[in-house]
Amino acid sequence: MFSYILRRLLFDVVPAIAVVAVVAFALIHLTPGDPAIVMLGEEARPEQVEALKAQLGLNDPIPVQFGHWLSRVAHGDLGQSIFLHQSVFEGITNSLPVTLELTMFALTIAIVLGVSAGIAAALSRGRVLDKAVMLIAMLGISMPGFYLALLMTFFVGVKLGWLPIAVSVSFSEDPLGNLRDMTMPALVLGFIEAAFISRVTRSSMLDIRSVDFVRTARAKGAPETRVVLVHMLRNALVPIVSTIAILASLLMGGAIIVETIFGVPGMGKLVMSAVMSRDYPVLQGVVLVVAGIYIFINLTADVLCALVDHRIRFN
Amino acid sequence: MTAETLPVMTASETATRGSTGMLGRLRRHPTVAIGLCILLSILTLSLIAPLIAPHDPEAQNIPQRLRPPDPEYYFGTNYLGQDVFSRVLYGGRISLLVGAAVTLLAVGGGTLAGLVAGYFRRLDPIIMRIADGLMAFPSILLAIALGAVMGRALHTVILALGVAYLPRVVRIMRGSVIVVRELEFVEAAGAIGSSAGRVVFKHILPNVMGLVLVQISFIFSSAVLGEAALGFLGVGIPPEIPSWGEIVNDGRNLFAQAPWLTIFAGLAIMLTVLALNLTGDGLRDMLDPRLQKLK
Repeated sequence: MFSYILRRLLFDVVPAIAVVAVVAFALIHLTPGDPAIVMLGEEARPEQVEALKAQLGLNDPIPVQFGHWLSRVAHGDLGQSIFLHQSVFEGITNSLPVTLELTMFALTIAIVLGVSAGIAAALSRGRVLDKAVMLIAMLGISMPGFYLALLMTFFVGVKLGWLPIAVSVSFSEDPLGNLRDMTMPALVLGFIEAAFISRVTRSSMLDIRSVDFVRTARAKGAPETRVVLVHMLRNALVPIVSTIAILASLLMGGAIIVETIFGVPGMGKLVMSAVMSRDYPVLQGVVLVVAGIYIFINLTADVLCALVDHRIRFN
Repeated sequence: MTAETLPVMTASETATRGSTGMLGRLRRHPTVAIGLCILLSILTLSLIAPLIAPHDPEAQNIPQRLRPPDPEYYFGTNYLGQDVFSRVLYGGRISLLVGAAVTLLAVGGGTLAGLVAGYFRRLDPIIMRIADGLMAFPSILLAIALGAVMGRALHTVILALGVAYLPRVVRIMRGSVIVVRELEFVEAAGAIGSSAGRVVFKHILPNVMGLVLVQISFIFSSAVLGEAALGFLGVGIPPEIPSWGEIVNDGRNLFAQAPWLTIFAGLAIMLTVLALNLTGDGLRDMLDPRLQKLK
């Protein structure tokens, strides 16, 4: 197991982080024109531009800048926000927990809903329940997140008044109130995610249902629930876990949109305000951290899959 | 990084091709036909928008503002008195144009990179590590960031979304190229002295073409969704050209008073994406003999 993790780290994680770092660094240099002027606006005074250039080290040759930037980032220093009067690191540590709360909440909904709907569909293959689940899942993956969010806000929030339509208290102030506020954004995000998960669950359960060990389990008289939940689900789990890990990026992307709609003070809101105010250091920091999280999640998922299915380790 | 879960064409799949005619296969997979029909209708409506739009999509008519749908204004009017139906028709041109261009870029570039990575073993690790690294960015975040630094314009939106979706295609195409590469006829082509270019384009590419079609459907659907999301967030194409996403964004604050501002454009996005997903799903099933056995 240890050597498997080590191989993954060396050959997959390290190169991926290198690519991520290059892209995040390159972002600032993709601007047409002088990044310092773009960030401060055309009406900025020359001495302001010079000061910002000195602060960001924009006068050095690009490879030198990259070296400096990389060593700073490696020490956890993501630079200074240009508009927020705080460091990028602070900005991210303030908003990341909120996004993690939202995405974990959504993921829980998605896994419960998606896996159970997928199993139900697979067990009733070809019947009405299967068709209904697959139709809803198809609509779910075709639905723009923002559209679902608007419809839910109006019908569930405003018309029926069941759930609040904006986040008004933080988790530390009032945990229960905060969870209530987060329910609608999490439902929106979770439903779309569940649509993907149910499709994968259904197809991997169908793949596994006629395999020898499932027949053996049935033949020796194991109860049907045990056959489904223990024998089949365990073996269908690898594609499901892999899909959930790949969906992590969809979840983060969806969170950006959902957060702006529901006023959730997370990474999405941070990145959108950074885009609007051309606060490139914040933009770089968010991109870097989000990609880092994705890489970590996928490594974890790989290790989990290897624990469930020992064959993977020797591939 | 994570074990590949997406379907890859196998040798037997390529062999079972063409056993029945195109029509017979479409009949067995009606979703493809349904998807393509919806898609063609939407495409036609957008293309002939200038002929059928009852009003100028930009013409403001303040006295007629925020009118609910009626026989004069099918989808109602917005806060400037512009005809929402005409705007949705014209918006489709932008959304579909961006979708098509992004698909061309991502599937074209991705297929090429996938062919190279799958066939040339030495380039494989380099290309795949770059693709894996790019996959770590949520595509919408990468598109937002690229669009933000390059400035808001039609071509930056296309480029940003294209780059964001490209690595997925590379991964999937490489996977199936590796399978096809090991088949005897490819080996034979190499043995009689065909050049690498000939082997890749004449022998391998035609055998992964089905998968390319599947990718076109799915990337097109992601691109339409992605463009809509960028437009909705206000970081897409400049608003003089309203795409479907921007039309939804336009009306979101008036949803309670005038839901028609958002509902129809949102439905247009959904219907397009649904049609593309139906087509993609159907094509994938058509190419997967395992599923045919089950039926």
